[in-house]
This record gives sequence, structure tokens and C-alpha cells, in this order.
Amino acid sequence: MIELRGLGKQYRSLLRRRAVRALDDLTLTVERGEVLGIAGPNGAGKSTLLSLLLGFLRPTAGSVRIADREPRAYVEAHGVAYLPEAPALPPRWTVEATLRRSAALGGLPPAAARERAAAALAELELEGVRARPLRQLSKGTLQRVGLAQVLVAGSELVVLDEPTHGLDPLWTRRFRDLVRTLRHPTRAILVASHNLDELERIADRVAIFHQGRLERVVARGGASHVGDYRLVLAAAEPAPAELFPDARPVTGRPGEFRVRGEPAELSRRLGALIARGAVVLAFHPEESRLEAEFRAAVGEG
Amino acid sequence: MVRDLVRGPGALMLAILGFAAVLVHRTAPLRAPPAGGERVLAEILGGVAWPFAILAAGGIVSGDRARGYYRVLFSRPVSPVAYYLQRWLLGGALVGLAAPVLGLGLWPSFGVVPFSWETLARLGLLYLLLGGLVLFCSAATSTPHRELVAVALVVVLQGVLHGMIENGLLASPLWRAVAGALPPFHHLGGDRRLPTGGELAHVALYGLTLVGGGLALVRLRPLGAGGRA
Repeated sequence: MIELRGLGKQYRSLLRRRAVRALDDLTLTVERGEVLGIAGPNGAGKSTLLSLLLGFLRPTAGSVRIADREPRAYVEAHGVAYLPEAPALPPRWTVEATLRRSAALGGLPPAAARERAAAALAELELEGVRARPLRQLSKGTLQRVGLAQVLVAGSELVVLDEPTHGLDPLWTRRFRDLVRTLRHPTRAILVASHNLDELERIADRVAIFHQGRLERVVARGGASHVGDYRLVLAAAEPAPAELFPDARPVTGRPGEFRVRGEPAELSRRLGALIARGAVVLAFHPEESRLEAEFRAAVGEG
Repeated sequence: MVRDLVRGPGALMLAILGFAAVLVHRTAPLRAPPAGGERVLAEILGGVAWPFAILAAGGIVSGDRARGYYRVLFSRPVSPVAYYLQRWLLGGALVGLAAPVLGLGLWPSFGVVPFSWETLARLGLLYLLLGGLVLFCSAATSTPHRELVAVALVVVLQGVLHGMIENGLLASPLWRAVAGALPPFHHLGGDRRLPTGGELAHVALYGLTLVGGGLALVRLRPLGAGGRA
């Protein structure tokens, strides 16, 4: 659905003496039905990429095509369900009016717009604040209004910039359900976030950016990788030195060890340990695969 | 869009017109003949037309850019050109409404509702020219402050240069050419009759060019200035 070829964006000062490269030589495709995560440290080029996708900025190199059209042509014909990093809306609009207007801007007739807005209010549990102006809302509630707008839009392309910013843990979890609801074979969903755990849970692939360059694309699942794992045994258990010769005890936490290896091999040894009667309380990666890839990509591996 | 326009600039305009009507009523209640009502209407509107045009058209594009509203507006299937043209035309309708609204406000003072097509036409031409300039500057800048400075510079420069030409103080062909290239506000001065013929064509074509240029800028200039802008 989305095709980026050699995409680049440089910002120039007014006198054109200093250029800042925000995005460099990006080639990437996103298919319908896919959820693509976009990760990277601050200034990696994530927001610039989203602005290029929506046609708010023009590339200085390469091209963006959405369903074989230029971004603005696509957006003006079909619309994009877009949640900006900070939802910028007129502060005196009420929650309900905001959603109705959003639906109306999408071309829905008034009755259908009302219906769509009511459904989004219910889904995001905003009925209690429907008549309140946006300026009176907390950050988290405002973010929920932004998400409600995404539901109202009902577009085939969904672009979410830091969607859980300001949401409490309960609503962060609800957001994941929302993404599952939005997932559809005809729809592509892009989620830019600093929250790697969130991306790992919802995205099929995660594109990791650093200093304007696409460093790597990590697919969910994929091949197992060698890494550090935490083994937690009941405190009275002896050290598992025989099966895990490289196990390092975690300082100040009796019964906890760091082990390193490939998951299949570690599972085999863990099975043997349990067969010998050891009580295993937990066994989990020290960091997720995405975290490891991220650290490697940004040069902290 | 209409509700925002009425609640924002519309409310302020109504308050100004209401104040003017009350002032007239307190100073000249039922003393003047109906023709006097039309003169008062024309004079008040001549005074408020400039700020009204700026209020109605000000910040149309630059305000959305500065506040980031364009991000939500134009991620929907909406053409920015059509959206801003519609918004600009509604601003013009609001300025045009000032004539009948003030006429109603002057009714208690004159016993009739004063109205004149000439006054309405003058308002329309001024909105086309000044409102067009405001739209153009709004599309060319990124904040309402810069837009206002740009509009003020053009209006002041035009006023100064034409004042000097009329008083025979400007001989330089270059400056005369600059004056000729600026919007012809001198054709719409309060003490002049409604422009006709060549003057009318000059005002109308110049205004339409400004509106067209502003909309072309909306189409050609990227809406965003930076990744998060």
C-alpha cells in the first residue's frame, strides 16, 4: 500500500547555509493488513516520515506513493486516520463536536456522522465528557479523544504518532485491543512510538531509525536469538552450575541467575533442570528481542 | 466553520456595531431624516470595514499552521484550497452582513432601517482587496503575527506612496512603479465615490489576483514546516 523509494528530507535554514538531514535514503514498503511499528530515539526522523506520508512536507529526495498515488492526492481522495503526537484541536470545541466534525470532514452526512461519533464516544468511554470543551480535559482524556477521531475516520490507512502518550496503564492496554479492532486485511497501520514493549506487542514488523536512517526492520517472532536470560529458582535451590556452567548469580537476589544462550538449547537445559527436581519460578529474557535490536541499531549494543 | 466564525470574529463585530448603534442613538435620536441614516451607516461602515476585513480573514492559513490544526483538518479527505476558499468567502459574507445588522441597529435612531447598495458594494470591494491581501499574506507566512506585519507594511507603504504622488512629492519612476504595483486601496477611500470603469476593474482584478495567489500558495507551499510543526 505504501511505497517509499530512496526517500530523503533535508531542512534548510532561511539563508540556506545550514542543512539538517532528517531522513536519508529510506526504501520501505508497507502492505495492506500490516501493522508497522516505527521506533527510534528522539530526532531519528519518525515524525518527519509521518509528515511526508501525509503530504504535509515534500521530500528533498526519492518518492512516497500510497496506493500508487502522491500522498496529498491520496489523502484528499480517501483521508487518513491520523493521530498526531499532540492532538492540536481548537480548545473550545466540545468532545462530541470534535468527533462529529471529524466525521463530517470525512464526507459523512450529518446523521451518519452523529452515529459514528456516538459509537466512538462509547468505545473510548468519553460519554461523561461529551459536552466538555477540549481545554478542560486532562492529557490522557485528550489523547482518548484523538484515538476516538481515528475510529471516526474509518480510513484504510491509519497513522498513529505516540498513541499511548499520556494514557494510564489501563488505557494503554485498551489501546492494544483497539489496534486489534482496527486490524483489517485492507488496512495498513503505522505506529510510531518510543515504547518498544508496546510495539513488540502490536506490530508485525518494527522499523528502527537512527539519525534519519533506517537501521533495520525487525519482524515479530522470527529466528530465535542468542541473548541474556534471567533464571529464577526457589531460593533454597542450589546453583545450577552443572547444566548452566556460565550462570552468573544476580547480586542481592538469592536464587536468581543470568544465563546466556540460544532459546532452544536453554529450554533443553531448563527441562533437564526441572527433571532433576529444581523448582523454577521464572525464566525470561533480560531484554526483549526488539530492545536488543534497538540497542544494537542505535550503537549501544 | 460557520459557528467558529460567528463565535470568534462575528461576536466581536456584533459588539462593535452594537456599540456604534447605541452611541448614535444617544447622540442623535430621531433627529435626522432617513437620508441621514444612510450617511451615518456609510460613515460607520467606512470606519470599521478595514478592521472587520482583517478580523474576518486574518489568520486563516497562518493560524492553522502555527497551532498545528492543519494536521487533523487535512488528514481528512479535504482539499486545503477548497477549505480556505470556503472559509474566506464566509468571512466576506460576515463582513457583508455588517451593513444590514448595523442598519437594524440604527432603526431606533432614524425610524427606518437605513441601507444602501453602494455601501454594501464598497464593503464587498474592500473585502476583496484587503481580505485578498490578508489571505495572500496568511498563506505566505507561518504565524498570524508575521501575517499582520506583512499586511500592515503593504497597506502603510501603499498609503504613504499614494499620498506623496497625490501631493506631487514623488518623482522617482521606480517608486511610482512600486506604488502602481501595490493594491489600489486609494480607489476605495472613504471620501471617494464607488469606483467605476477602469478603477473598478483595477480593484476587482487586483483582489481576484490576490485571492488566486493566496490559494496557489496554499496548494504549492508545504503545510508543515518541520517534522512536528
